[in-house]
Amino acid sequence: MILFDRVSFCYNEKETSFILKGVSFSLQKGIINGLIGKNGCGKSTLARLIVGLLKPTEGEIQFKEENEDPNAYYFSGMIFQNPDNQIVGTTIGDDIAFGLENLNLPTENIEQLVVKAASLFGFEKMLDMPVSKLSGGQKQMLCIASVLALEPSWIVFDEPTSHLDPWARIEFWNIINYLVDNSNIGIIVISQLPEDIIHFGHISVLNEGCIIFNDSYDVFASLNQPPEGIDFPENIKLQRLLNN
Amino acid sequence: MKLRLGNLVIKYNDNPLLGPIDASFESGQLNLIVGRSGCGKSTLLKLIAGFHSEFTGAISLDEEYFEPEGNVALAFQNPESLFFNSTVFEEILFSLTSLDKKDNICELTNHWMEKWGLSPEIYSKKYPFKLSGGEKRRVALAACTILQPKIILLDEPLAGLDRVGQSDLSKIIKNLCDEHIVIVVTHEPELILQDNSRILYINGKETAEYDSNTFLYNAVINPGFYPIPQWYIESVKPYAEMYELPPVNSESVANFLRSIKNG
Repeated sequence: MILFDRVSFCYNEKETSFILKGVSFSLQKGIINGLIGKNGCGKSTLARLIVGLLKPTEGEIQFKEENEDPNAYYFSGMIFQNPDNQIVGTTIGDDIAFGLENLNLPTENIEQLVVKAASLFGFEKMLDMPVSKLSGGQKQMLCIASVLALEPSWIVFDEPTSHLDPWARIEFWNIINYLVDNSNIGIIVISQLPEDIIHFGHISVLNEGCIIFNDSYDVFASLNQPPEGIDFPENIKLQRLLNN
Repeated sequence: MKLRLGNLVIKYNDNPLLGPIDASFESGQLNLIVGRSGCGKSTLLKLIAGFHSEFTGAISLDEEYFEPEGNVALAFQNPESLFFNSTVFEEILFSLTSLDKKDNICELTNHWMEKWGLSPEIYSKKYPFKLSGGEKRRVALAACTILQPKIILLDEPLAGLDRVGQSDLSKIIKNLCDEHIVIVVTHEPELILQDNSRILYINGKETAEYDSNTFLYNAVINPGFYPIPQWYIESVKPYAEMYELPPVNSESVANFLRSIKNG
């Protein structure tokens, strides 16, 4: 679980306008956690706080696991919006190995972990393929493989479907559902697309630096009005039109 | 106006990438191109714009030899990333001044701002970088189209916009079809599809043309054909054989289902 305890954040200490204003909520593993809100509401800042790229100005973020080992260290990975900004290797194998090399692991271990992560996406026989030959969807999958190889505790996806074609979007959600069902990795997806919302098990809505909704998809779907800045997905709208 | 592609084979480094394509794009209808990432959609747009010259076959405009120069405006993906002027008016005016046009350029700029839903009174003096995503996109597209080309090519114009921005932009694009041949590459044809749309569907190296209803029918009946939203398939599939299918939005589908229920 990730616990946000009265977390505030501003980019410049001299500024009085906080991007996040005393946010307290928690996210669980075993479901897809959706983080939504209109442009500029603080979603990406929240994501960067979770993965440790930023530190809270005030408050605390805690990671808690079942059967907690007091010496354990929890690593969170992030998948950015545009895969071209995240890929650093010239081949599939190089890109997956990059993070592991930076952890200073023995070469043998790296090779094993690269093959293990690559095989989840059918890349195991394409390790020498140049990344420039991959489609947009394949590049996104490579970014996920490269983060998964590091065996993170949580992965944050920042608007992951916006650069994918509709077929690749289906593949993406299949992989996310597979990870939720078959791994102990916590999943957080940031998106403002109504079609993505239907995949979320838990939804947190951020508006002007505050959490204004934090509950299950079913509770979200039963709200009289969508939270500020959010549009209901078309399936919920249709149901309501037909019920009226 | 009619742009015809005859037996067109697009090549890349001497290897065939796509085709042979036999297709036509007309004014008065919305011409959409759909297909998987990397299938050659954007290359086809670049070819029509004259930026990709490796091909065989013929392109004609109203049965005459087609010369891209002066006839085409191409808006790449995320065109707003190219802004460099300090006001919306200057940004849109720029392509006219760069071509040494001097007559009526202010009137023309105002006219094209109106066409793209940007009221000159409100937007002229605004700083382009401070607009919303949807407004930025419209400024960029106004700047691309102000030279009044016969053919307007738009590569993923709706990508990255919120739902309101997508809906506003779809309406404007549809209005442009009366006076121009508008060709749109999109991953979200369901957002823009209308009765008079024609879809060039690229599958591997092959292409096929569909009208709006046949495209939706195929997508509803055969899930592998094109992934349209599941809620739409579940709602309209029982009636797909008997009725013309509605646009892919909740309001149209609700009206469609109500009219069937009421006979």
